Amino acid sequence: MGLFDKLAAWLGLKKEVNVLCLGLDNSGKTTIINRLKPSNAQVQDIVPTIGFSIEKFKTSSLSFTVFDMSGQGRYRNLWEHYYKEGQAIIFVIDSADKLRMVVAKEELDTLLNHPDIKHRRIPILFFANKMDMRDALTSVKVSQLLCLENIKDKPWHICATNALTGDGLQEGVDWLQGPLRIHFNLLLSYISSALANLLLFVSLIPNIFMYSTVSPFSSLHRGPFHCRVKRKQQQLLRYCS
Amino acid sequence: MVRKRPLPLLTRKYSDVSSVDVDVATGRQFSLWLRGSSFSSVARLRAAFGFICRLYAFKMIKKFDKKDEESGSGSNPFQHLEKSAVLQEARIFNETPINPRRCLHILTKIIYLLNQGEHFGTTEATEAFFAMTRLFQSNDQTLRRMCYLTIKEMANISEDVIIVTSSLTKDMTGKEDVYRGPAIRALCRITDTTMLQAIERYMKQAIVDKVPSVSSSALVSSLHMVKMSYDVVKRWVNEAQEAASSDNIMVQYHALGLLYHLRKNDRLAVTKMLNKFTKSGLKSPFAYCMLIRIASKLLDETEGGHDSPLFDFIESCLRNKNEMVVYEAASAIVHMPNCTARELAPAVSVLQLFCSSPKAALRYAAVRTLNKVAMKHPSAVTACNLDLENLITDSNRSIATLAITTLLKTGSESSVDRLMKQISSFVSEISDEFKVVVVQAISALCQKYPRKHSVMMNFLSNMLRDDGGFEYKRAIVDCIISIIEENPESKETGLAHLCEFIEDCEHTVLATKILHLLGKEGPRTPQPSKYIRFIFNRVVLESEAVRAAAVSALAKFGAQNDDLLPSVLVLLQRCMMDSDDEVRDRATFYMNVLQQKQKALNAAYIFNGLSVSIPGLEKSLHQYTLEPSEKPFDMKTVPLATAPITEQKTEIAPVATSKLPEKLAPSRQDIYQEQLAAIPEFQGLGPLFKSSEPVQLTEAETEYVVRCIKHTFAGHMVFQFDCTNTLNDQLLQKVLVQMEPSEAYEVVQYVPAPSLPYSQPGSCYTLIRLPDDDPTAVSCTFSCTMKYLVRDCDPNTGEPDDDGYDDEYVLEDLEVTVADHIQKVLKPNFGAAWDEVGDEFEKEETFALASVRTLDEAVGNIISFLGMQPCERSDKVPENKNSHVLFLAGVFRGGHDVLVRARLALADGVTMQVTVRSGDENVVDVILASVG
Repeated sequence: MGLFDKLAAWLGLKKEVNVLCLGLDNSGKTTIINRLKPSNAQVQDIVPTIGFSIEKFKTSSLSFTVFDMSGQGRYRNLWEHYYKEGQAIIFVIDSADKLRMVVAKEELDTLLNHPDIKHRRIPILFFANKMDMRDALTSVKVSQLLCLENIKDKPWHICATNALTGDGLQEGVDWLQGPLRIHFNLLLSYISSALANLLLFVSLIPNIFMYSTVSPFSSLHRGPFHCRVKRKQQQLLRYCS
Repeated sequence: MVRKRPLPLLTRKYSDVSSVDVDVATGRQFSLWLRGSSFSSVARLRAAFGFICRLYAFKMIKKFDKKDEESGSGSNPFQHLEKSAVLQEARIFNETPINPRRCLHILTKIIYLLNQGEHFGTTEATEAFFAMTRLFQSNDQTLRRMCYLTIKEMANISEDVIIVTSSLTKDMTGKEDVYRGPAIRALCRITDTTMLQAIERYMKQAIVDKVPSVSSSALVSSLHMVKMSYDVVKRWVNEAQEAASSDNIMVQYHALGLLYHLRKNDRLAVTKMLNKFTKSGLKSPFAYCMLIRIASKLLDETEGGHDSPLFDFIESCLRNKNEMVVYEAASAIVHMPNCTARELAPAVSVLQLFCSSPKAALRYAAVRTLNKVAMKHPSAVTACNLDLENLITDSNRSIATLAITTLLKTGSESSVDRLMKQISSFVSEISDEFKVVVVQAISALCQKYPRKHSVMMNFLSNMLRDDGGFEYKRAIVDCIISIIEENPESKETGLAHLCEFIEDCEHTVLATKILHLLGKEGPRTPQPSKYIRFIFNRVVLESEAVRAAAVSALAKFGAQNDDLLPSVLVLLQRCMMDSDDEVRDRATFYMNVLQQKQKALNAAYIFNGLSVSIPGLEKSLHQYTLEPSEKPFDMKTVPLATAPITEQKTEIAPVATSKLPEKLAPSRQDIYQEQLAAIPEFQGLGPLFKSSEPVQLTEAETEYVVRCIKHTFAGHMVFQFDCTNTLNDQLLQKVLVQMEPSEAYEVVQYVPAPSLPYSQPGSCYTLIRLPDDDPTAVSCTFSCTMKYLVRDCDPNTGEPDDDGYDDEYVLEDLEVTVADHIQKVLKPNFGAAWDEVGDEFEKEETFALASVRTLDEAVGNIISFLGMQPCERSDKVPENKNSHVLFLAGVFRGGHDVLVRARLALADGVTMQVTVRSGDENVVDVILASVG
């Protein structure tokens, strides 16, 4: 897939993905997002979020825009306004808060049954947070309590994390890149195939389009490129299904 | 499914772009530049894309402009926006990546629509708002600031606006100074009392921030929030205090403003603050102006003498370096009540200096303020007369006009001629608005120097001939009318000018008004016949409304002047052939009345028109048609019109106005009539005869505020008690006012107010029967006690306790006087009415009013005691006269006309000879008895 990444990088399309960060209040959403940001952008004191805030961070291949939603009861009904454009969901659970695990489950079920979410193959990443607490449940236990095994139509993953130290966060984000990239590359392959066709076409008209005279990329628009894209596309389709 | 709408403005623009080709030359340059650069650099390539985009955008804008010019829609590209189309476009906010330029354009459209007063439904507004919140992803500065504006605009129409709280807090504490101030303002707009505590910490930090814009925004926003949650903002006093010592002039001003508003209810604290700042001195001139305003307000409230330190402070500001502060101080001194000439002098001399300033704004401010001073203290301004005369030739006409009108107020009688000449030289150059000011100044001058009326009259008639709008003409006509009324000598010239004016007058209202005046005044002039021509010309030439008014005026001439009667009858006969019904009706009516040749009929139907309230008449007639009966309709059942008390100069009898306003606003009394008729206990009392002005039965600022309105009916009285409960921890129930009469009055019934919650006024009523057997018992004193059931309640929730207790509250005594039994009625022609009533029940008596020193006082006392309407402008006592005749007219309860003629003579005290005429003997007795 290196070629696509390169192509994407070249086009300045480090793929931007919108991620919703949800979960009950005091589960550590803002702390997790803060920890994922580059160290010079991190803030020291975290206060309860009111409404939502938008944060950005990057990984090697993707650029994340996170809608960090407030988890307080009165704001939870506002989550749904942002479901539509979320391409992935991070759901944070306070593993030490056994009492409210049912509340978390209830919110999760409402989320999964929302018309904007229900029929989409949207990846969900669960962070079983606060592992440093003494009476924290294990991630397995959390996934049992939340009945995660019932989610059949969406890729999901659960990580045990400690947002204070950052343990487990990278693992989760790495997982998230997988389904997102598939999603994205499929899209990209369509674009690049169209682009390649276009390039082929315009290269027939000399001196009008500048790319035809540029040497480092001249290999790009030889015939086989088009076929390779087609093949790749089929592979991807197979992988996805 | 959403129907696809025709592509709105912006999309169309973009479709244009796709067809735009990059100019060949530019394209070549561009590819050359590309070849020369190191191509592998992605940044360069991006820059290149950016260049192309800008190129497109430029072309696009150019093209857009061109199209605009072609369609001739002017310079406003937002003229034909449609709300639904814009909201649909707002969906692009949801797209990623965000296109700042397009989003910016759409936000502009939304704000434009909001400011045009377009109504946004809650759902659609909320949807657009949430779409907008996504734009916080973008780091485009302009876009972000536009978002702040949108948030502020939509704060009240969208739901859940608090969703952006965290985003705004992030911006206000962030590193970008450009974002911080606007973010604070937006945040404070969407924050409510419950959320305020969450942002309190940030606000405190922002107030003392070293960036002036941030600090100012925080201070001003706090000021707005004082209204909402005073207690929270009060905790920020220390921070505001710190900001008040800032070096920035705006921050200091805003901090002072906040400090004042936090303390304004505590006079002591305000005084302390003023002391502190006046001693330490301030840097900001704005803050100084504010201090001066606070100080003058405080002086006003405490009624402090002019030797107080506050006054000294204001006076010291007259020597400030800054002109704004100096002006503010001068204006504050000038506007102080009971200011002596000595204190005024420095302020006036400062204003005098400003009069010769090169800055037009300063000159304007100075002359405007001097104009105000001249009303109260003309002598103080005389010192500036020379400067003001220089300003007459000022190139700015507003300044010149104000200067002249000021001079007219201060000038002596001798200078009037000269000034009038000067005004007439430029009056054609100034706008109507200022012409009205000039006319008003002349009107005031006429009252001051009645002897100058001939000059004024000439001048006014010249102005009347010039072009001008309705307001201007009306001001002139009013002015001439008032001169005629004040000054009998000017009557004939004035009427002649007005006659000339109506020969060519396009304003129906003015023409009818003048015709009415002619009808009233013309017959009493030595040569009434000369007006007939002018009036009859109207019948021939003008519109229906004017014709009808002319017919009424003609009839008055015929009624008053016997030698003119035959000719008037001939003219009226011609009017009976008019094409308009109203004109024909009036002509026929007057013709028949005049042919009877009876003085009484003339008086009743020509001079003094109907005195009933028009809505009341309408209602009674409607009622009459609903219940057909054998009895003829009785005019006496119709409530009387409350005479126009304030507008004596412009009263217009219903006969003369053929152009009534579209809908007569129901008078106060008609409203009461309606309210009382809705209460079943008061059915069958007949029509409401009179409602008195409200009488306060409690002191101001007591636990309960009660005022009483006395409603008089033919045989009963109803007292309406409007009660307000000012205790927020009490709920009153079953409130009634118990009354103990001192005379033979009988309390028939109480109608209690069921419940009286905090600060919601309620009414309870008491019904009294007036004694039948003794018609002379018109005055009575009632002692009143309010009785009620108290239920304590929680001040916050208003939730009352289950049980309550009875309590009572003593009110002040209520008096019923003769005035409550008499309704004012205006008789435009008192002499005719006097003859009409006849001397059958005339009585006369003489009294000495020992305690009264002047005629004016005596006249005022009599009018307020009897509650009757003064006629023929007899309430105004001419100066330097020792005797006066007062004519009063009214209707006594039961529908008997009462006329009173009081001859007053000033000796040691005032001697008064009262003659009363009425259709009923009892009434005459009652009035004489009550006067004695």
